[in-house]
Amino acid sequence: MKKLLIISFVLLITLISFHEYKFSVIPLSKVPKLLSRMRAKEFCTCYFLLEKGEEYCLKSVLKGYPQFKFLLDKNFRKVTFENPIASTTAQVVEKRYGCRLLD
Amino acid sequence: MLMKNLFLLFLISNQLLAQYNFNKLETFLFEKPDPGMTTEAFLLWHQGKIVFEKYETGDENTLHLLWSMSKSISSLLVGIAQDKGYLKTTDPLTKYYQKEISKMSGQQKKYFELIKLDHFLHMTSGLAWNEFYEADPFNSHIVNLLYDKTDGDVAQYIIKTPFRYAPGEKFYYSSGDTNVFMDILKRSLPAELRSDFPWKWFFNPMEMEAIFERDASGTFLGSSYAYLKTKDLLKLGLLIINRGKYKGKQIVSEDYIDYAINLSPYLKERCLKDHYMTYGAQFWLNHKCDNGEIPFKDVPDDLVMFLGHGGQSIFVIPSLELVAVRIARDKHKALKKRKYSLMLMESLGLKEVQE
Repeated sequence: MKKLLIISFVLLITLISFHEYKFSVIPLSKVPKLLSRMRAKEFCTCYFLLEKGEEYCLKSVLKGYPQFKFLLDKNFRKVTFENPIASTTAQVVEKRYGCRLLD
Repeated sequence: MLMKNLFLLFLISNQLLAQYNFNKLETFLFEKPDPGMTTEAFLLWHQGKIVFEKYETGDENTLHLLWSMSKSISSLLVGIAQDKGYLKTTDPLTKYYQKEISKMSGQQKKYFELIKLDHFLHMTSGLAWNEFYEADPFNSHIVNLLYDKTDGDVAQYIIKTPFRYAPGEKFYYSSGDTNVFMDILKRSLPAELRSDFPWKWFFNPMEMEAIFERDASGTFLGSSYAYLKTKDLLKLGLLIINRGKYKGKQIVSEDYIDYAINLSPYLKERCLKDHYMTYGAQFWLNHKCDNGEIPFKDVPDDLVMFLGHGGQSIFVIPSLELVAVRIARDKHKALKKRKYSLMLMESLGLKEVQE
């Protein structure tokens, strides 16, 4: 049992070290937030600026991956993407400056 | 007399049209493209008029996100600011980042004291930037910048990157370099001009309807986030043909156009070893290297390219009075640029392409 715990601990440390080395620009802890920001920004651009339509834009930003929660507010020209860890809203505040990430 | 002149005009235009044959080009772009190529719209201008256009999606008024084609617009904005006396491409960074540099130490400080705006325009800052997307997104500075840093000051993020090379030593294609010179451009202007200058000096005089995104500090994200309509992309190409003029008005000086579309002084000795094309100040080129080599054989060496993500492009050959706008959703590097250039020329009766 003790041996198994030591092996698990060593493996965990190795995995974390690998992630920190491999993802040296973007820490692993920031990935869920970054994914929600990417989706919110890309959808906002696609839907409100390029006017490509909801279905096309969703398909384009999700690229086959699942989406947990998605809120589209057409009146205020904003969109929110959520995953189990993070949520981001993007909005067109002034059209000539495009979409802004709000959080 | 009038009838005779009209008849002559008819004969001449028929003669000119007879040189054109767009079948092969259309097949290559839309019907049987190379693997990974998807053309959405195409527009070809030759000697004063649009000679061929086709839209699979949208029309000439469809708005497009330009991604890296924005870089060339950003360069032109720097040229305009220089023409108006707000900055010089030879300006040292110490002029704009005194506070930041005073807090640096060691090699970072030494190189920042040497570096000039010109290095950033030619992608030779030497900063250890990672410009890739799908290949390794979580180790990418550009992914981090576009999706995590825009609600702050992107230039402050970029200048904290350590150096990989000495300034001017090596070309590395970097959106970081573009956004730093856009921050310098912002800093060089009076506060009341900063949010409006792309429209005041460029988009409005060029009669373009544009979107240009900024970070929270007000720096235009010149590496990636300009939007224009198809018909306005043609105007960008014509601006190069007309050496900075639009409808008779000088928008960017001829001197700056020459600076931007001529071979980077930092590429001379290592020409073509760093990339398979040559580069100016935010424009891709087919310019001859010092040893006489040319990237795309049989294509005129004055070819200038605006290139963006997905294969969208503007190809300009001033000596042939040719501008080609292509809107696309290609996979990475699917378009063979030499082959495409030769096909453009062949369609105008200027060159026969050997398969």
